[in-house]
Amino acid sequence: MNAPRIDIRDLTIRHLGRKRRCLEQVSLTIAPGERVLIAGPSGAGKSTLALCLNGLVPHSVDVHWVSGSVDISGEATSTLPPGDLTRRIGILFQDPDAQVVLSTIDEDIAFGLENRGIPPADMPALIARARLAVGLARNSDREADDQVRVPEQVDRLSGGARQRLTLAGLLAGNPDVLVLDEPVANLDPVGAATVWATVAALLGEDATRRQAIGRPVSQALAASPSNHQGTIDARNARHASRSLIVIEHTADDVLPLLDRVIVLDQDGRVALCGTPDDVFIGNRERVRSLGTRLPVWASVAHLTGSASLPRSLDEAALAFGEWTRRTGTPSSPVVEPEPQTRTTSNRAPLIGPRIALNGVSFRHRETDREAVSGVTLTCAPGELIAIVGANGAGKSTLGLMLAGVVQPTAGKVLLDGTPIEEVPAGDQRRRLRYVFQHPEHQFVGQTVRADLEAALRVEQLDAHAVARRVDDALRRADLEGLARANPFTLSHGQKRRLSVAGALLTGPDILVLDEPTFGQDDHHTAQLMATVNGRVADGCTAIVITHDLDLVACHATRVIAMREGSIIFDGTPAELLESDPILRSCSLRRPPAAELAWRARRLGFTTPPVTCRRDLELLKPTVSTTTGGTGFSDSLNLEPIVEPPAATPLREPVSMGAPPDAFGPGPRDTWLERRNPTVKFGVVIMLGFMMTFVFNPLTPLAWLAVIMVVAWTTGIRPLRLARLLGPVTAFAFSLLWTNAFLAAIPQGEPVLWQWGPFHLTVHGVVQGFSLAMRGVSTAAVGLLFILTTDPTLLVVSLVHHGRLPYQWGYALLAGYRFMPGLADELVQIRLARRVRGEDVTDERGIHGTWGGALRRRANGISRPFGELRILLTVAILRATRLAIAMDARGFAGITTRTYFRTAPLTPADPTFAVTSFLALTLVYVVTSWIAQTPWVPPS
Amino acid sequence: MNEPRTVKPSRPNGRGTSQNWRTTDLMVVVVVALVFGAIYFAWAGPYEWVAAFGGTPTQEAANGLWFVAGLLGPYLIRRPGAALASETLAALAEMLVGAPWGPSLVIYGVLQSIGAEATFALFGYRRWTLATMVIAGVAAGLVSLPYSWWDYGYFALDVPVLVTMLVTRTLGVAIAGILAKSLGDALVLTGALKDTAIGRARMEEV
Repeated sequence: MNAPRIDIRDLTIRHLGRKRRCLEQVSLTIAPGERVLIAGPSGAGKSTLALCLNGLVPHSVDVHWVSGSVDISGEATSTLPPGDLTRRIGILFQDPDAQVVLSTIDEDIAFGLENRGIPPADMPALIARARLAVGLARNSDREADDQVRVPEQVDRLSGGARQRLTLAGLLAGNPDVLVLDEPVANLDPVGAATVWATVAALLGEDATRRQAIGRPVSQALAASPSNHQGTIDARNARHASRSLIVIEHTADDVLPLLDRVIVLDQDGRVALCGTPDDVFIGNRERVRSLGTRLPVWASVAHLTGSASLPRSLDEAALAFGEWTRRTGTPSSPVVEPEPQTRTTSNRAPLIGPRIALNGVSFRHRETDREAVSGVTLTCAPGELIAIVGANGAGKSTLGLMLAGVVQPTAGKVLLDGTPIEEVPAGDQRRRLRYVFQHPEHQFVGQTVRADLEAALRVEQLDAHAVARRVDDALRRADLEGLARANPFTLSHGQKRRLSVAGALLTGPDILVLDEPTFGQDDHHTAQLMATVNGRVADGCTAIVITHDLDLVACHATRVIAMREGSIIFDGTPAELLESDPILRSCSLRRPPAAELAWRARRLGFTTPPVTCRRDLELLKPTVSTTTGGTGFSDSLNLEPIVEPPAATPLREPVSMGAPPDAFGPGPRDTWLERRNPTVKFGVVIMLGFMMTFVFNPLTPLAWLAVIMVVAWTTGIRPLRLARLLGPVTAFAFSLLWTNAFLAAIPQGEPVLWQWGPFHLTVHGVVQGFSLAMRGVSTAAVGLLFILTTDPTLLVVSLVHHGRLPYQWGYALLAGYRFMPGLADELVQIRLARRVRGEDVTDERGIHGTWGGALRRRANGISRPFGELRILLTVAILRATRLAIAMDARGFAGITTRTYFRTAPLTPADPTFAVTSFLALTLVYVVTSWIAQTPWVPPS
Repeated sequence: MNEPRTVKPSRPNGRGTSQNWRTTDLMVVVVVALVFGAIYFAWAGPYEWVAAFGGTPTQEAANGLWFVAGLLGPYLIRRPGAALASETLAALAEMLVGAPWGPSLVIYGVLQSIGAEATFALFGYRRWTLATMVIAGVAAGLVSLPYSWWDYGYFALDVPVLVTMLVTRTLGVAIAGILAKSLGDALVLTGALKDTAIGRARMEEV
């Protein structure tokens, strides 16, 4: 069976709650085995189109399907069963965190296979092959000299590795069509490069198979112990012509793979459709006007007058070098259209350093990890400083301290020479602005307009002036049509534009932007940076935290590279781009334009100083393009490549923040862990029931002792258990006090002390103590259960032996996996809302008045409500995204489900249950009997 | 256990038929349950102090918060079983975090959702007004009363105290209904719920 032919006819779609259409009369055909790029401005409906391909629209996501149809091999997606569609067409989304469902690599890859009812016996081979394909092979399956160590826990994987894991999950199911929806948008440059390298390698493999249909199976399969060779052979043949559909703003990384490029316009129409040569060379200006970034190779082709794109980086570099030699382009700088964006020297010197860090460190209280250590830094007015570095290098923390959002744990932050904590809060809010990486955390208004108005509250303007400035900001951010929309309903790019627009409204002195251009198309990036540059020209200090080195090279006056909390480089972008060791140690990669020039120089050419895309686009072609372009193949043979550039293999750290023992001992496997989780759960519930019949302190104490001993036999030291129980114990003892002072007084019980409703009796103390101990020992048994039970096995077992519907089981597992992250999110939300001034009453001199006091009080009550609303919003957004990703992996429309892991019931399990019951009952009877004996003589 | 299990094919695009849960609905209920599991756990501290200083009547009023998940979940996704699932799962989460009441919480979870579920069923899962939410809250509070009465040994208390407690309990759960509705309405405004029943019902085009 071959990859299906996809026919989209006249497709028009409108999202719920939007008047504007998202896709407008899109008609496309994607042939079997074709490789297509879909580009276009942000909000052009690219992602919606992707969701239509495998039936997630309309099966899982509701839209207004205005007209048209999507046919897979001649059958409409609306009539095909969803499970069938997602099996054949696999999709990879942007955010790795919104796609990983289970907590270990194997389980997560198996999730998709289980949903398709693949026999469990076949799974290990399929998983191993998929892991190998994406470079995440098990440590035991690797050669001894391989340096890469892969942690099995998903949480320990870096972003790029997690994205490759999701890709492996798709590949294991062997889809006929692979849809990649901006798969690297959330990754740092090296993470992105590894993902693309994996995709390219996969397709390379496909290409060889394309030529070799019918040949015996590959090595990996031959080695597999599977006896279902026949079915795998059949799948393998199908694999031969897998189609690829990529959605991207930046085409550079995928260009060599493509057969065709489709560009959508702002209204969701197909604006351009053709071969990469046709689109990127033939329609150069049109592509640009659509806000789509031109690949660097297309610029080279434009310069050299070639009618076809280079096929590799070396080819492009050689052509570029040749071109510079032929035209004798001087090595002097390119004409600068706006010199003030590059240097401040031509301006009157602005006074003094604006913000200075003096030996500043920041240590996280919970983890005791130093995010920033001993940084000294001075930022002057009119500087546009970029902070770059790998994920977790401390960039955001440094930015937060520069904006006065968090206080360093050591060292001083000085604003114009004054320690920042002495600057009045109002001044701080006016002069410093921080734009968070996740715009959602910072929204305070219910509509786009209200959110912008909130930003102007500090300025105390009249309504007319506010309206004028908000209108202006809406126009600049290109959000005019969405003024009444809720900020949370915007697309990623629009959300970011809104948060930046809000920060720019008040004209701050220091502006810190965390990843301002994530998910932005070319047009909006340029617009945003123009606005920032405008502020900088007025003397603002802008600090941009980013992974986009092209942006850095194009706009920054200075760049700071961080690694493990320290600054390891402070200089100009050009200097950074020349330094390989620093780039490598910061997980950075030279951006395409700079890489081109660098390679050309390595080939012995003298090139103009090209550091970013814009430099390249400003060069003027000297060979007329009308003279009939010659292909690269002709010009290439002029000269052999002098020196093949040393290919340094890209190695992204696979794990992140993993302690050394993360790869050490395997999963614990003690007698208690081997018990069936459902049986264990039953014992826990049974103990809970018995607990409600306990009214003396002795029984729970004895039970606690039993639990401690049992824990000890499984290698959990009693001390560790006690430490984990600490918070619960502290809380349980508050029960002791309330009962001791408030319990009802039995007949004849002497009152030792009385004050108002409070009275102390021996009975009350005993009662309180037994309640407290009840709490502690139930918590202890719950804790022991959690410590010795694998959550996935618990769910599998509850599905098999406990009649739990599998939908609930997996929804719970997925939710359980991302819940811990929400605690960090809450911290971020609090910070972000403080920056937006949500917890400060506004400063119109209402302090000391009744109205002010009331408003502060109301604020105090509504704040937790507001935080809860945002936390739930963020959690629900994540959950719904994850739900779509789960459906994309076949969770919707399951006909037969299998299970990769099993939790068998063994004869030892009933024995365990009965023994536990008898032992607990014995303890109960004995201790109750002892407790009945009068130990307090009645007075 | 390795043999494939055949399950009833689910119809994910069950628009119109309220019986079919979509993955989104499941996940929304799970998120509500887990977030409220954490809140339920955190509420135990303040609850004890309120109870200590105000006695059992205030304790009964403070009880109300523990009913919110079972009212909010169904308010958002409007499907049969949502109240039972949200409240029970929230209680389960609270137990697993280590609340001192342990497994008895799961029993409370089930009991505290029955009244709400019955109310919503009575309204055919169609009416979601403030009155519905308050009635659902009160029903949930009253249905679960006998068990706490027995578990906490309220039978030992004087009749006037019991009557006061009944009144404050009713007030507390009524407020829970109002809280669930206002929280749900605030969430709808953010647009995060556009793929759920309440989101579709409230959609306003811009």
